[in-house]
Amino acid sequence: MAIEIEQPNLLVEGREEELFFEALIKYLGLQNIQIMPFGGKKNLRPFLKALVMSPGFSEVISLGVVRDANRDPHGAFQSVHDALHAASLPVPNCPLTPFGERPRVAVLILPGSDRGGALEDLCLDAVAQDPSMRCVERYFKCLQKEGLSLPDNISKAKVQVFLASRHKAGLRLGEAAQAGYWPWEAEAFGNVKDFLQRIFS
Amino acid sequence: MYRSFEVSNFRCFRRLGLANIERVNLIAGMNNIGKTALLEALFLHSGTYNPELTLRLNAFRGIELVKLEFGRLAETPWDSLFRHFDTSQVVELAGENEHTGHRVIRLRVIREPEDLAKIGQSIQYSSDRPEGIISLSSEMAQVLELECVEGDQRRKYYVIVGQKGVRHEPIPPAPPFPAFFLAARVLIPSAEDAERYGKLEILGQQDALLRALQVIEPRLRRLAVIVASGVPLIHGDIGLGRLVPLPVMGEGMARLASFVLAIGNAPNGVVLVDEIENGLHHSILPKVWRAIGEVAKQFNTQVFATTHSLECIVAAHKAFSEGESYDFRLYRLERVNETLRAVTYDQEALEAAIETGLEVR
Repeated sequence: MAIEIEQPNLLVEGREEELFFEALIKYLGLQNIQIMPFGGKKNLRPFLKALVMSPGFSEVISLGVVRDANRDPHGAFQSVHDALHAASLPVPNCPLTPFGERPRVAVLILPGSDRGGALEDLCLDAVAQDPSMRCVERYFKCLQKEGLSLPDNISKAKVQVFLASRHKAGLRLGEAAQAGYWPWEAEAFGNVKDFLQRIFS
Repeated sequence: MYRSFEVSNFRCFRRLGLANIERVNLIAGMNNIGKTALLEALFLHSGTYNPELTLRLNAFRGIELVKLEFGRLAETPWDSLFRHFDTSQVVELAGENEHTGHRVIRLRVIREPEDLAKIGQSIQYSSDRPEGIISLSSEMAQVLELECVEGDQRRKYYVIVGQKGVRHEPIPPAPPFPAFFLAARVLIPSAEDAERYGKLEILGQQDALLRALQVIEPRLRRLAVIVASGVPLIHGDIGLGRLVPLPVMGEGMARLASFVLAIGNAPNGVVLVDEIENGLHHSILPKVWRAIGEVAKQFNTQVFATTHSLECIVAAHKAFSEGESYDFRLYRLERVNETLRAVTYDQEALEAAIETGLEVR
């Protein structure tokens, strides 16, 4: 079954981000926003090219693009900038601020505040004061003390350990958002909530 | 080989353009959006000098009989070719072909008595037919003018439908390249396929069909034309100890044979196929596309086809992605604010759309 374009649109990297933003948008009470995963950062450029050709896209009034900064927040924004340009879409000069008309376009680079990282880092910021995070930190220190190697993506691993402390264990980041395990009222989510309200309200 | 094509005031199109046309082109879109009309426009343009082709288009749509009326306000057989049935407009078809250059075809219904009189005179002076002088009036005949503009050359041809039948003035020359239209509603007679196979055999190119059909039926060893009850029919040997008529092997085999034979009989030309997926199971579609791609390349034939099927689009993309070269293009016709336009998907955009499930029909 092919996806039909509705309006407005939020483009995210993958399935976890889709579930995460679906839960956050519901929490904010925003209506009728279509969230579409573009299949990873390398796929954004061809995805945008195909999206603008899709039936119904000419009716889209606002478009948000979200991707992880990874190691280079400026490089990540530049890559979204280039992909928007290649698809002949309005190109904002900086993250968060919507630009253009029909569609109005805004870009969000996670975790935000000009630093490297990803959605996992944002979620860890949001639960930094949770008592279980002390146990999470101790777990990784223990691994080091025992001379064991740490995972490549330490933030992802910390999220998994944190989620293992919840009532329903074994959820992934997006599923945890749906289950209400991320505190939406936390200050860490301020920029993300502000971004969604500015582009979609 | 067409590289670009533009149609104005034809059927449902006010103006529509195709750019970056490839060897094999698939046209998708909703019902009643103009997919068949676009093939018809290409067919008329390929015919170049022959206004009589306009009358064949009705037959392709399953309308065999045309009611003839005469008079300045009477309906003509060509009314439906004109946008909004407005025959005061001019249909214009313009194509850029890498072999034959830029060519514009204009169609005009001639109704005014003075125009008809002028045409009658010009035909009288240019015609070398024994019947000589022609008197034309809207009470006796309906006239369609085809103007062909190639470089600085302008030539006009007329098809005249009168009570005595259809006549051409002047007799149009052969088109610069062959073109075949495989309509969705009209089954190609087996005898016609057999004749086309015979033409390939004369040139020693009959193996092209065998190789293409082996893609679907690997047991197929050879093909032969057998005449039974005076009707020639292609048969195949699939190791059953006797030859089997091609249509008996399955509709998919017969359909693919028709495509391949049309392509093979249109070297350096064009084959137009309406609703190409008809009668083909989705599982064989990638093989059918691979075969079409290979034969089209071998004979340097350009193919335009329409489809409603996502499976057909995905199969074509897969077949050409896995081939030597991606000489394939998808066009999706869509209506935006009452205007029709063609959205062009290259390999990258189509791959992304298919991977992420975006609508491409």
